[in-house]
Amino acid sequence: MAGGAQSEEELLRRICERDAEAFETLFARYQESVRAHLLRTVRDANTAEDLMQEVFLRVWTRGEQWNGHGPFRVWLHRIATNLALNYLRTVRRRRECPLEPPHDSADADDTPTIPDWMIDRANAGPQAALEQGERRRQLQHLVEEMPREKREVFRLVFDAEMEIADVAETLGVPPGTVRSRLHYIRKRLAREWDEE
Amino acid sequence: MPTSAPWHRASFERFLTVSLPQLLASRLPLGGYGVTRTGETTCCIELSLGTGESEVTLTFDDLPMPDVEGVFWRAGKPYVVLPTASCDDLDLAEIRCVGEQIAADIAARLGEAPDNLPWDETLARGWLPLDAWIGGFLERSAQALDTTNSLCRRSYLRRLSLTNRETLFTPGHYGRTCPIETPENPNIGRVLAVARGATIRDGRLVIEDTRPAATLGLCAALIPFLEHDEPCRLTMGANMMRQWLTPPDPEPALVQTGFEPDDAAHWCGRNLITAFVPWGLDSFEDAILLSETCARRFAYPQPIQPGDKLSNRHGAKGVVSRIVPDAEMPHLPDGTAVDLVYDCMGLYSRLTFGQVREALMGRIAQHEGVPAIVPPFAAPSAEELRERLGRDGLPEDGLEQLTEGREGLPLERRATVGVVYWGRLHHTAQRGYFASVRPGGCQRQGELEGYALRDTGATANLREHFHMRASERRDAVTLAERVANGEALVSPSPSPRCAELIRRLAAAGIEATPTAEGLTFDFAPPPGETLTFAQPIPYPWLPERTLTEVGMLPDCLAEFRAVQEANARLSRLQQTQAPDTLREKAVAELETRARRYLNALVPPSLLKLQARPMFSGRAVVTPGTGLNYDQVGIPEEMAWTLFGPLLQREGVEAEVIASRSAEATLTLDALMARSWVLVHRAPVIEPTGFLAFHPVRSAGQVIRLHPLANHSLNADFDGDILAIFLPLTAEAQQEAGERLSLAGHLRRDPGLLGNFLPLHSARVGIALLARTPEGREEIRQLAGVDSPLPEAPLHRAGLLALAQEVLQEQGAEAAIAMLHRLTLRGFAVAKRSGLSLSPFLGSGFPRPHPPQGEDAETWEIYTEELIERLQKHDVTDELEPFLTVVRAVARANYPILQKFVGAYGVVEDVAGRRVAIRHALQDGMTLEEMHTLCVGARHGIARAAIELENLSRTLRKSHLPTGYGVLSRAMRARHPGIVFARAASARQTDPLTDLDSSLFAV
Repeated sequence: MAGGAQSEEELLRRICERDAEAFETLFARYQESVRAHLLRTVRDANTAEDLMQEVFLRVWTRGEQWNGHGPFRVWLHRIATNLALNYLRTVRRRRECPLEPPHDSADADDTPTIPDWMIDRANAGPQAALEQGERRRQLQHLVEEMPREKREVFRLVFDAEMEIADVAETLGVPPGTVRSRLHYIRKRLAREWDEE
Repeated sequence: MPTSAPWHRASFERFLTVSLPQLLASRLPLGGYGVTRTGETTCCIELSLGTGESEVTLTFDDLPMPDVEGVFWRAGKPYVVLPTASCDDLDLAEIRCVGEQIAADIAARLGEAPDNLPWDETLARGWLPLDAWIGGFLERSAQALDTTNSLCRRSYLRRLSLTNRETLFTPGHYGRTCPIETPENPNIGRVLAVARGATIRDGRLVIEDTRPAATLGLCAALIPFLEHDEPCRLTMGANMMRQWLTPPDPEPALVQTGFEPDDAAHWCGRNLITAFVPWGLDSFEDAILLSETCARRFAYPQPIQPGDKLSNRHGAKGVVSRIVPDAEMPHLPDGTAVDLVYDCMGLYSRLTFGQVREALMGRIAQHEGVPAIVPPFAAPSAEELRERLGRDGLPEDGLEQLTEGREGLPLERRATVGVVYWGRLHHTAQRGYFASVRPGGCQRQGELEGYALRDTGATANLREHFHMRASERRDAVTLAERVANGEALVSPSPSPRCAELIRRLAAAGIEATPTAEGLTFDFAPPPGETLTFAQPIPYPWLPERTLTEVGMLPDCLAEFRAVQEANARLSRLQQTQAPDTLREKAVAELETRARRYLNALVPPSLLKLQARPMFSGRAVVTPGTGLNYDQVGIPEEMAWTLFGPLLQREGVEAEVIASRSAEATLTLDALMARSWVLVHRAPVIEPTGFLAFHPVRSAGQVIRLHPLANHSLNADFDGDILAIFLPLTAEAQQEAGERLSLAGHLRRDPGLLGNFLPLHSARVGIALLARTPEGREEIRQLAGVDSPLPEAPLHRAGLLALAQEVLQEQGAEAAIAMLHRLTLRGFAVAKRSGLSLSPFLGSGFPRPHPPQGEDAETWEIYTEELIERLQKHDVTDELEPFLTVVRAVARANYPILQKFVGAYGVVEDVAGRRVAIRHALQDGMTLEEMHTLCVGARHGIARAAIELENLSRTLRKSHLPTGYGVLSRAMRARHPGIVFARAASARQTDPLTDLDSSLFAV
């Protein structure tokens, strides 16, 4: 039997006889409409979903109550409305607690999140230095003071502009090591740059 | 000029009288609606719904409403809801003030009522819980109004929140919001200050006044000579002014901008005779030296003490290092003692030249007896200042001959001295102080701290922090007693963190049992209160297995309740033999919620080290005078607190300790002399983040730090707080000395030597000393090397080479000792030098003719040329002190000096174009130039925030465990539960042999 063509009366009759297939058909046909109806009333997707399941459970358990009086959709929506009203009546939407805004001001924190020295160096950092002549000379000076393995990584990444994977292969070390050396370099340079 | 924020109240009234009734009428059968004011900050709404028999009337009494200023009051505390901008193009953005925000919030919650509902009061209140909605909105959206001082309060009310911040600056910002004021934290550019000349009207931020000062916020407009400052520091200056404490006897600034309100309470600062000279350790790293007379003027709300923070309007900030008798302060030729010393080293690299000009103008105003008015972007030129100095009979170069104390020798150079307006901040030493040997409030230690200790091999200390001394242990409360009683300090496994993991896994049906072999995993029914499922579901972490019940843990109550609800529905559906469609949905929902609950029980963060170690303290850090390089000064009170139980262990009676008798003090000092404490500063991003020192008692509530330690801890003296930890076991004590002392770190990594070189003025001092043969000989002797120093400037590289020589030949301890001697000597030499920052810096510097056009490249070449000229500049003029500092590689550099005296140079503007800032700091910027510089400054602060985040992320990545034990695998996993479930399924045992697992668990 083709489900799509069946009337609501027929489907309901079968549902009363515990025909799950008929229920599936009805559910597929009306679930969106019921969900939208509930959403308009309760304005919360999760609640609407929960209530929708309840609505169709009522159809399953009390389908005979329709009796073909009035359009099926209206009956269905009335069940939905009643369930929504019950929800709105019973659920504790009204709270008794007094207003106590928990927010602190956006910048009231005692210790600033960003240390000053980082702000200073970000404003005249080594990255910018790479692009500038005089600063570059100073930077080279700092690089030369680094341990050999770190210096090597610096040269390959910044001077030879190699990818980390390539540097790892060239040096025969894992990429993680390259990254950690790079991290060390950046950190140290930034610190010394600040000092310089 | 508007200084209040009328938009808050206007918006709320629109909500009450227009938007709310409209909204209600569109969704509900609204019969009547009326609002009455019931007080200054409350109102009452009465409305009716439905008709005929089902008509119901609702009354909402005592609804909150803002006062005329826009402030909501609750329990005597003020709150404000910031207006929000819909996008960062502020010229186009829709601005929603409190009323519009509440209306939108209610619109999202209010359901549409079908016709002919049988209304009754219960239903109506359930449908429209207006009081709860408004209350809830304010709870989520209102911020406590910061009322530290009147400026703070007023400026807070003029804030704007940019919820969808995509860029930090758009052209629409100009004139509408202050380019300077914004928080220096991740909220940068998200919280903005409405410009003085702008207002919020009809949902838009509109400009009413285009004069230069009107483009600034309330705070920035109060900074005289701001066009001579780098904007990044101005941001700090403006933010700190809002933290100034209000004195009982307000003192108007001698230099004003003319935009101050006519209200005595506005004035929170003090006009202080300020000398911008290095003063040894007392002025090192931003520390501030105060005279006793000056301290008396800052005695609100309690007497000022070392560690309390001061700032001026230009963003200079520091904590009081010492308060000394006036006779010990630098003196002017007429015998006047200086009030405050702020080291010029802090000015060189931060480009805050404006305060030097303010000092000069303050001097003039003081002499003339009338406050000077210096509006933003209208500061007097160098020529005008010179002329006024001359007219008033003051030194025309703005410099004074200071003496080192009342009876002391004159300094070697004449220095900048003037009157600067300084305020005292609410960051005090008292607020920063804490020490305890018991649980409650101890310093938090996380994974980053764990990495630092692990990287240095300080595993005994790591175990103490996260295990033995953790406040989270069940036996934590008895630790101090156990120490005092001399009990052996044992810490039964598992660690508190591991115990927490075991407890949570149990609720998920996994039993982890510590055994002799390690930690064994198996499945077991959850203990305690459980929830049995209506039907078994696949185990979320191991689908081939089923889950029939979970334990209830209050830690994840919300997630547990969600599981309960889903289970109840499924149960009901089963009872009614509901069709599969509904049942499947319910089962799927139960599965989803069960997975969420389990993941909430065992999140990845549970596998990270975390504890609050007892026997710890914290305090504001200040410079440590008179310390050896292996010593740290800790507050007297902290010393007694931390060492009290150890003294008892040594047999000193509790009453004797409480009396702090001379005898007890001797015992304490002796005990401390052979003990190590760890000093650390958050965030720890390198292994040297923990340093071990022998503690010595120090007066007041501050930690006194040896200058060799600043660099390693990234600490300066502008309010930084350091933590102190006392290792308790002999093993941890020994390890602290061997691995975490300065010498210990250097032994582990000789590459750290550069971290311990003399800094700032100490380095300049050494460079100055090395100029003469006698000085070089003295340095040689201090360094303890044989060969004479070459007749050449001694800068950073030379110092490093010298230190390396000592390190190689005599070892780490000798190298540190030698750097200690050189540093102290360097400070003394620099103090004598009278180095300063001339208010007429660069006036004698012959600038080549500037380019005519705007072409960025031409200007870049021009600035390069200026730098070269400065490098060759060899005339003893007002540039000499600055050049000395640059040449010693002690602070700043030629490009920075160039910004002071040449042309600021090429920067990116708001559209990312490279544009030339033609003026130097000494000239003062134009309004447009300042706006352009503000773009870069804001980006700089944001970059720092990103960098900090990246650093932590990289550290975490590079420290991921490498082992293959269960715990190590779980530490690497995004869903550790899966690892544990597999381990339980295979009844695996983690032998806890790899470092990460063993540090975590035992």
